[in-house]
Amino acid sequence: MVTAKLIKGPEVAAAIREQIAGELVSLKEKTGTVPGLSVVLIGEDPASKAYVGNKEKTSKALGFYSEVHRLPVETTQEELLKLVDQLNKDDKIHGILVQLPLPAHIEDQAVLDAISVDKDVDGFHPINVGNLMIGEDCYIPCTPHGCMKMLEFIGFDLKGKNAVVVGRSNIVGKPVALLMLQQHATVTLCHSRTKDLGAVCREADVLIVAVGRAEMIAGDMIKPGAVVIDVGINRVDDKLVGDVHFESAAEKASYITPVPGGVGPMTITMLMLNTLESFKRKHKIK
Amino acid sequence: MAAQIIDGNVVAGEIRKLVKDEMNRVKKNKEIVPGLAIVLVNSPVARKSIAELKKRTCESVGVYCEIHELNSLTRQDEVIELIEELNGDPKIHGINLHPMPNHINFKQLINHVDPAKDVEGLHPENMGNFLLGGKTFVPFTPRGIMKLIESTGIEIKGKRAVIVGRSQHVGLPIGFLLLEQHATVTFAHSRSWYLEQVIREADILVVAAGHPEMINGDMVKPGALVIDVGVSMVSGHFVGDVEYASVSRVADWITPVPGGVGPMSIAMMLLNLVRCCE
Repeated sequence: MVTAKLIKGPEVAAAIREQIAGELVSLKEKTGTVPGLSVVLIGEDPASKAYVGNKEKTSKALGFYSEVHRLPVETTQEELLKLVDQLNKDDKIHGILVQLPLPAHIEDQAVLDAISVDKDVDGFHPINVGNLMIGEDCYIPCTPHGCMKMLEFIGFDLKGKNAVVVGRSNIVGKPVALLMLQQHATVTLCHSRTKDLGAVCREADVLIVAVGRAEMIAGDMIKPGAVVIDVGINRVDDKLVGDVHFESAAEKASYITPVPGGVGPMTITMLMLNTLESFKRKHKIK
Repeated sequence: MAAQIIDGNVVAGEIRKLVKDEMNRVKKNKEIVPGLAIVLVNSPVARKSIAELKKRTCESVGVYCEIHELNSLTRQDEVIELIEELNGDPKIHGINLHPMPNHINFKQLINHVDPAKDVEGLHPENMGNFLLGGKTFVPFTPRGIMKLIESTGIEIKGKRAVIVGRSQHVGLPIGFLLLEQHATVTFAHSRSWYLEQVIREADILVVAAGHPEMINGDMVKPGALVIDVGVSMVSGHFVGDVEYASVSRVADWITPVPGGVGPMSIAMMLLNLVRCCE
């Protein structure tokens, strides 16, 4: 029986978008301009095209200035770096997102490093990551940011609590661990080499799972009353499932994110939030 | 049975030998004399005697070292100006900033150090690359702690490591270094509700909280390896964050204070300087 309350991504995202839209009205009055997001897409990968389409749609719906640079797959690294440089200097643009993965002949990190730290709304530039680590101003990568907003949405106070993160990736596990540590949780990072994973997970008041293995965390690994955030999206027999076995986990948890409809829908909204933040920094508005 | 002592002086001695060889290699291959600049602004925290000890250690391994001692009236912008000068000085490969008085913003200073000369590994770009797992400078205290742990020969993979204290120059980086070696890592701190429970889980316990003798033998898992980073002066004696007498009866391995983590620092900084030269 599902006793846990659901944290629904679209609902949390909608609340944040409403805030963004409201703020935009007053920012537009103050500055006479709006935040601008530029997305660069190389090639014809259908999943990437869909993501980029969604980003464009969302930024337009929110009233942002939006541009998409769709370049052919044979674009050279040099040409791409030149475009990034132009966008770095473009005053209309406050956020730059280069859609990954890039074709094999282009080095991802070289392109990410070339994006101005001030416009790195994806939060993957090493200086942004370093600032995240030392707790200075930075752009928080979208997925971990989304997880934090979901905890905030349900009014969960992390201070002093045990938080367990399963998965130690650069894009989710490590940053979300740092963010929860900054909110004064006791944070444990687990991974494939962790001994007795179940016992460690059962210590968690908050459990965040981001490993990309279908339904690997079951209800017997969850402390009664815990909050469970499932970042995984896996396709099993034409069905999307998370890294958490939903039915059994929902019997133990107090709150849980469904898959689909959990963390996924949060990420684009977080990108918009970072772009808005970049705009405010440029205009020195708190 | 009493714990075996992890002797920082012995391990540091081996590192110094390694540093000397590496420095000779750099000198020969690059035809340069590695150079370190130490910047200190006079104040009770400046620790000039440590700067002089560093200089002597540098000279003993063939490294050029200059100490820039500024008086206590020096302003932030003047320190920045000096840093910029050192960034451009070809004799200098590494810049080491000593603890600064209150009127100086240390974090802002670090942002002005050329990341390629950041022997301390504290520049955000180096911190970021470190977290992302790239080749970069790692703050030297945590690197020294890893050497101490490795010197015992215990296997890190799969162990539970608990770090008490979450500072950017010790707690966080040592946690991520242990994570890289496949430990399950917990960051705990003064706000942790279940601190005693969490500490008792630790196969590897690193304490860097700055609270004298906050950990006693009842709190430690029998057989644990305990690294004590704290150094406090209590009634005329140096003590760590760990109550040595009781913990050494329970643990299998322990670092003493003094003579544990402390002696590693200079040797590890010089290892970072080797990387700056490359």
